[in-house]
Amino acid sequence: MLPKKYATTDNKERVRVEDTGLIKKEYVRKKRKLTYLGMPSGEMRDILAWKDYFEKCTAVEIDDQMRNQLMLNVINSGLNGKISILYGDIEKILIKGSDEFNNKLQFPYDVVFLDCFGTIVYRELQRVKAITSLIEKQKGSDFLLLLTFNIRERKYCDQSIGTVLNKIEKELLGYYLQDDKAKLKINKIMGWYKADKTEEMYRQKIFGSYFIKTMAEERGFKVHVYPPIFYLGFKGSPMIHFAFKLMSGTESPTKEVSDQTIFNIINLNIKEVSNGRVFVRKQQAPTVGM
Amino acid sequence: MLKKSKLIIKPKEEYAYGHIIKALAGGLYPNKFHVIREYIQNAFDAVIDWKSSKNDKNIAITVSIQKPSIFIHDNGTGMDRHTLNEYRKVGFSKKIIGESVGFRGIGKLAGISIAKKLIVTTSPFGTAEKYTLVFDAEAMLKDIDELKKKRANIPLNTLIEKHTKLSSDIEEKDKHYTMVELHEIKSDSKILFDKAKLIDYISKNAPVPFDPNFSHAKDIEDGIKKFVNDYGCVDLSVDAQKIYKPFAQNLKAPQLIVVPDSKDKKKFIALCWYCEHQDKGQVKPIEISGLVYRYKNFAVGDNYLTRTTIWNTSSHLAFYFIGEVYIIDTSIVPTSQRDDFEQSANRDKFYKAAEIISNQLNVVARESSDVRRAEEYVQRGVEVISSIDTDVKRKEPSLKVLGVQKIAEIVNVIDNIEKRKKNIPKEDKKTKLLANQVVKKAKKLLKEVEDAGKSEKGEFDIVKKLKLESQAEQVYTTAVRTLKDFFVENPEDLEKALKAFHQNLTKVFSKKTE
Ligand SMILES: C[S@@+](CC[C@H](N)C(=O)[O-])C[C@H]1O[C@@H](n2cnc3c(N)ncnc32)[C@H](O)[C@@H]1O
Repeated sequence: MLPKKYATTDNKERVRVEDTGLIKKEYVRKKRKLTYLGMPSGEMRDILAWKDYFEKCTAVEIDDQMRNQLMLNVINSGLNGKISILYGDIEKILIKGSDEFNNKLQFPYDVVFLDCFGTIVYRELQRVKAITSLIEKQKGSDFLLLLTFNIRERKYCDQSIGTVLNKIEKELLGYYLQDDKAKLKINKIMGWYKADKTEEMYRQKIFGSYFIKTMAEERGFKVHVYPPIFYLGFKGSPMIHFAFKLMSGTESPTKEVSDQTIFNIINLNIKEVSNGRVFVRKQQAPTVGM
Repeated sequence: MLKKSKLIIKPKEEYAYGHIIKALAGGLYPNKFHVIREYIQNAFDAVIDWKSSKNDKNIAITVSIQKPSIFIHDNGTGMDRHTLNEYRKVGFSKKIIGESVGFRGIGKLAGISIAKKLIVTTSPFGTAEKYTLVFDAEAMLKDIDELKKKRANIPLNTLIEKHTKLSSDIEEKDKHYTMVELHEIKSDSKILFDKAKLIDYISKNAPVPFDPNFSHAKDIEDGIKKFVNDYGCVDLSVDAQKIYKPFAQNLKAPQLIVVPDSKDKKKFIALCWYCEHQDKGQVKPIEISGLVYRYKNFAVGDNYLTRTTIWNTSSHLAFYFIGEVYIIDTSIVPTSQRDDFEQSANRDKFYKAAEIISNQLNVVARESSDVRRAEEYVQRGVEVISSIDTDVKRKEPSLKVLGVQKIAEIVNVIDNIEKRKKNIPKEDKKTKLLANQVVKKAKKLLKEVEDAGKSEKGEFDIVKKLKLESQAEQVYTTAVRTLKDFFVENPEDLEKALKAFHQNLTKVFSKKTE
């Protein structure tokens, strides 16, 4: 038997239950079956779990063995004709709009799930470009964006994350021009985020949320961020899962303003899935006021 | 599951140069679609095998184009590890001539000529495992080229072993299927991604069912089943589109012809069903007209093969029909290309015996065309007579000038109908009655026109008008008779020609008399 490249876990399946709730809501709200762009892997558990809500799916897969297995499952489950497979690197495909073989993405999608999307750091320019391109191509259409990232455990704050944290800090300070005490508190809290000993998931939480929120707002979407979920995935690797609702705004030339403020976003609790249960983590980052 | 096995290449020959495989794979399939057919054939065998043991309705072949690959999937028997592993041994073939469709044994490797990798995944019923064989054709062909450069030699099966990998994984116990992926179709075979062309090819060549929209489908199928024991078809879809055999519109009810063995008249060697075109001429579109040979319900050759092998005369009449010729005698086997049957005494005997088909179809076509012609003459007669009748009633002045032609036209109508009345089928009482009516009316009209001519003495009779001498008159009547004979089928042109003739005569002779 070949070593597995990827397999689902109980935790992952529990996270899926959370996503199912969001997808069902979209389906009810839009009163029609949805279109899906995802990376379902060979077992395509996401598509199988959500197939009743989906009309058409685009699957992206880079690995030929996984792609072969995916196609087998597509046919064995009678879904042939409903799923088209793009072959290659998701980032390149999002940027180009098609794969090397001229199989095209069919924008817009109602649900986009970029699963196992590496780690998020600004340094990875191509990844940023890919997400930007996705949001630009979705312009004018509401959609649910699900993102799962690996958390690379480090004992320090990555420089590119640090840059964004500084930006967030600056933005927060802007709200307290006269209030030195509050400013100090912000400095202290952001200092906690940047500290080497702070667990990476907290940094990732505000980094990921802030990154998608600001980028989508600049491109005409109002954004709602759901509390991110931390879990241990395949081979015990730590993961963080985000869900965003992007709502097409009023086409105003300036950026959209979402209902959630930057304070709301930073203060989002991290949820955790473990042993088949979902709960709000006991340990949370310090909250910012206002 | 493995009933009998047969080695086509003998052990000694296994030491053949590796590049033989290249030549085999490349040279066997000038038509890239044949490669797809090979895998559909294997899939079909697995389906038939499964159906023979289980009464399972949801058995199908699925073809899917997912660039850069093409997938061919069936939920037939599936293979166990051992059978899949035998794929790596060239020469192995579970298939026995005449018993299964893909009897060549080499068919399974067809993919290496068009794709970079061949990936076969299979799971037999009752085993909680699936097996995957990856055949890295690109690497293997590169290896062969390298060896060739070095003038080196390597046993074929060692070479294949080196470039294939068999692995297993868990699977649900009751799953049974085989999927072939032609991974990364090479640039010279991109035509396979043309979905319309692929569907067209499959619909004409694979054992797919008759289209439920084809009104004669059931009758035809019932007919075939009576004579062809192993008749079978399979649900097949290309990217969720169900594929059926093509059919044409406006066809008469299907008929059967059995081709008996020349020696043993009780033995049938083939069965033909055909539908005749209801309208005049060939069935349209031409690509689906004519007859096609079927061997285990796969096409052998195209509509021209039957035309050239069973028609000696009037072969164009073949295309006035649509139909198939099912081979029952399994000693007649198709070539690996399936563009004809293997040359053999049996084949030649079969071709000879099959002339019964062309003989019958030619007769049918001629009868129909006689009938059609008779009907046409009646129809044309109705038009001509009614038009002349109106002229007569209106006292049309041209009638005076063209009296001769009109008479000729009426005489033609009467002649033509009387000559062909016998071809109108008895059942067609309506046309028979119409024919009699037209003739009756024509005869009456003839008298009227002749009288009209007489009443306008000299006016319409150009001979008198131009005071032609007896020799000139003879030339005139000969010319008119010749024209009439010449244009016997075409009174309108006759009218035109005569009119021009009369005008010219008038011009020339009036000058002369001046
Ligand atoms: C985590 S799995 C997906 C699981 C699935 N979404 C689910 O919910 O069960 C990620 C899949 O994406 C593929 N993949 C990883 N990185 C990729 C990339 N950069 N481009 C395309 N596919 C990629 C992997 O081979 C794997 O099959």
